[in-house]
Amino acid sequence: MSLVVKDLETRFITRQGVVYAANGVNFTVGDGEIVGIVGESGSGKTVTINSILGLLDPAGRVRNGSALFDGTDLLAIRRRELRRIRGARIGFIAQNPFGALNPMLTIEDQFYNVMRAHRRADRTEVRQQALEMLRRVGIAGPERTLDGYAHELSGGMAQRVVIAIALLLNPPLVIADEPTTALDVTVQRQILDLIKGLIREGQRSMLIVTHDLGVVAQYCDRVVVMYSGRVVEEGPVAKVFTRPLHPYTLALLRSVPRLGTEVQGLGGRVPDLLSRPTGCAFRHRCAFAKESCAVATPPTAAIGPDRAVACVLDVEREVPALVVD
Amino acid sequence: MTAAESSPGTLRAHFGLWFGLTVITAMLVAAVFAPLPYDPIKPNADAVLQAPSAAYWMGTDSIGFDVFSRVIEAARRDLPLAFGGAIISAVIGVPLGLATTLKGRASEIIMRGLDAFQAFPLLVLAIAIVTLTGNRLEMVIFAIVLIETPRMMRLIRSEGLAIRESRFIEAAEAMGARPRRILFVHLLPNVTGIILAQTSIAAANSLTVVAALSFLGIGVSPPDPSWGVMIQAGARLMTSGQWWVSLFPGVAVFLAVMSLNLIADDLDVIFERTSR
Amino acid sequence: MLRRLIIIPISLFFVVAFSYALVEIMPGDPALAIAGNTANEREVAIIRAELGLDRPFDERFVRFFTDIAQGDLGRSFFDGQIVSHEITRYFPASVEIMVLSLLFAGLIGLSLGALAGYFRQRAPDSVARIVITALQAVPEFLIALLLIFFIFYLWRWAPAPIGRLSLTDTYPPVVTNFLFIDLILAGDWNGLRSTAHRSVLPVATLAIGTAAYFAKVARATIGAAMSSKQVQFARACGLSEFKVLQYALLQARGPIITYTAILVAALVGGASIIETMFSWRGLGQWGLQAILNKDVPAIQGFVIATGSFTMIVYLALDLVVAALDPRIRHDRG
Repeated sequence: MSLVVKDLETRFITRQGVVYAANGVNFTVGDGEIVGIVGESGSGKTVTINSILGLLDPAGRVRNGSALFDGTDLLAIRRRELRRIRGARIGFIAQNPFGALNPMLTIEDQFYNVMRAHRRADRTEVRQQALEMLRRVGIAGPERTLDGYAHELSGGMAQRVVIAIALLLNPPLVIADEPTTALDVTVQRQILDLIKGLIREGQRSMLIVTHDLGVVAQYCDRVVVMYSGRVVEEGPVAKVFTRPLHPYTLALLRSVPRLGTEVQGLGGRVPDLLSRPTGCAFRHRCAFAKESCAVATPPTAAIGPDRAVACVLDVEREVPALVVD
Repeated sequence: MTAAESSPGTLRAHFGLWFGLTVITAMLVAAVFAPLPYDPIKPNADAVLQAPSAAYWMGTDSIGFDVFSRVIEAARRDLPLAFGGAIISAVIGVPLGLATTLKGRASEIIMRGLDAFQAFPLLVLAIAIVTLTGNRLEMVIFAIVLIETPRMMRLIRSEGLAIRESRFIEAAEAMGARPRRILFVHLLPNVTGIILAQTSIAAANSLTVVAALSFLGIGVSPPDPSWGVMIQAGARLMTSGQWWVSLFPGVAVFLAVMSLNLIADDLDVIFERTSR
Repeated sequence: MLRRLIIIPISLFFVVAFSYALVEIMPGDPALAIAGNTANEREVAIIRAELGLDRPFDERFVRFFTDIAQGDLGRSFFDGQIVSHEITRYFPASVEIMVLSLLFAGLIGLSLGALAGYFRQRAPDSVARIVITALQAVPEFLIALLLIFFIFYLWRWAPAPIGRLSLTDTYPPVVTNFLFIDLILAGDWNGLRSTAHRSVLPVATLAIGTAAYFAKVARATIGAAMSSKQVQFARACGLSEFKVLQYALLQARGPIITYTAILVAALVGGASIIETMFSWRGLGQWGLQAILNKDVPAIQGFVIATGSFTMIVYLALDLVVAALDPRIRHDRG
């Protein structure tokens, strides 16, 4: 399994004007890897995964780029083919389980609908598989859960159901959009441990979107840092977190010293996505900005075998190493 | 998607608003200033049921009235009634609606009562009120106010409650601002757009009610024209093909009502955004 | 749920009180206004006694309520008929036109609205929006006239707008007062065809007028449902677009049904005019005539009948919504 996203550009056409939400996003998810996309809200993380899965609002348009999933360009294939991949070969874990689950249908019906979207199966067969999945995600009374409705479940239970649905067809890749932000802090860790366990056990890959650096540190192999619709830095978590190369990554890491807290306390404001970006979007908040930063968008440069950064600075020399106080 | 690339505030972005304002303004200007080619209340017995022509732009009816002159004359009567009713509803409904956003059981009960009122066939109500209070079309304002005020109150209440939840009202409350001050200084400015939109809708509804009543001959005194009366005058002629007698006043009602609705639609869009 | 049931008697009380207030708002001496200029002293006195105006206010009010509680709505001033009998006689025709209109309005309006909601912000949505906006601005009686002009006068597809049966048709024996049902019971297939043909114009009029509102609410609710997280998740799981639309409909169903209750109330008013225009001889036409005649007992009966009818429709649809939504269903039990 591999997912290679190249030069993804997505815009939204709104009454206020054109929103430049993703402006050339590049990253890869390798076989068996867990990759985290991290950034502030409005950085284009969610837009990126919605573009890949074809889930954009009608106002959203992918203008350029490709997303090669095992060689198939998800952005170029017909909607029908994309539909066959979604759910079957790419599982999706939503942010808020109560938003995602259908309140009008029993949990069993929802398993059934997903299964029937991809395979011929009769109800008893689906029920057996759903029960099996629910047990694997740690639901104690799977029978009762199947016969009930979403509103009867706790937040953690409902998210387990969502995970079970996402993994029902044994997809090699799972995409998770902030899978725990809607949940109680107490169950967040349980859910994340569960997800990671299921991914590793099935030798799957995962792309997880989050604004929580703690989640990335603990659960991801590699991290993609996004800012203003662009990837500013990419690399193995261990390396990026100990020696960030982009001033934004550095600022992020400095602002969040502990697990579980949100990105906050960065000076300045998030850039206005309504105007076409020129130069480096981060320059207004960057402590190391030079005049040249306003001229051209910094190209992404490979640093070593497994890292990349988009910054004009000679990062090794000019960006200081992270000092945790 | 060409509209898409345009910047905000362009004509195209709020086409409905500009179209509506243009039509309504044109109608008001015509009602006040337009010279009438013929006397709207003096029929010409020699020109009965003339089809539209250069002499009679919208034709004449079965008595010999000039339809065009009467369409304009009717606007002088129908538009003030509709706008008057709508504005009075806003004047009464807005403070009452704001008051119900204050916490308390009383406001809850009042709103429940209004909900029951909504279940009523309101057109029937208007007809009954005008007939029983002396059969004068002016009384329709009373009926309109009775119908539109509760709607205004409901809307202001729901908008007001939503805004109350937001931070700045909480802050004002925390700083010890008095309830009345909160209502008028903090809430009112934030619902102006909604009030304008709802008043526009109320005017559109009122115009329909006025037309329906005068169509039924309620509250009218011949030969004074009203769009509804004129449509009624041509109703039977529709079965014999003289379409112009009903059609032109009908188009006038249609254009006015649609314009007011379009204005309301765009106002909603514009103000919802800023108040958020 | 219980709260909803408690609302009903309170609302009914308001309806009855309101129908009573109608007499009170009449300026001057209501008896004189009703009897007219030509009436003599004796006639006016009779009407005054009928209205109870010769007794004190509180006594009148209480008596009015006790009479109504016993189903006694009095007799018409105009033709002396017992009001409650008249209502049961004319009500079925109104139900027929309203049910038929709602059926077609729902069919047309919901399809148009669903189309617009599904393709929101794209071409079909823009077209639907224009159609909805335009249709909402045409008064129903104008729709009726335009239909008469085109369908009757120009194209001769429908018979003249005079009554539910032609002069040559005979009315079936009255069993249910529902003309369609009575014709079927009488086995009068020609009559049935005739009345169906004559129903086209009035039903189309009310259906078109109401369809715009159905379309509007369907467009808004389904449009919102289409961009909900629920639909997004359904799509992310690979459900077909047909299923996805079904999910959106499930979500929009409740609000649409609730809104239908409001439409029914509006329909009762609209039906009065349309029934009169097409000589439909339903409750609406009867009530409108009563109002024009200042026939106070009949008006009061009409107000109470229509008010309670819409109230019952509100409650019934509320119950339907509750029964369809598992979240409410479970709360109750």
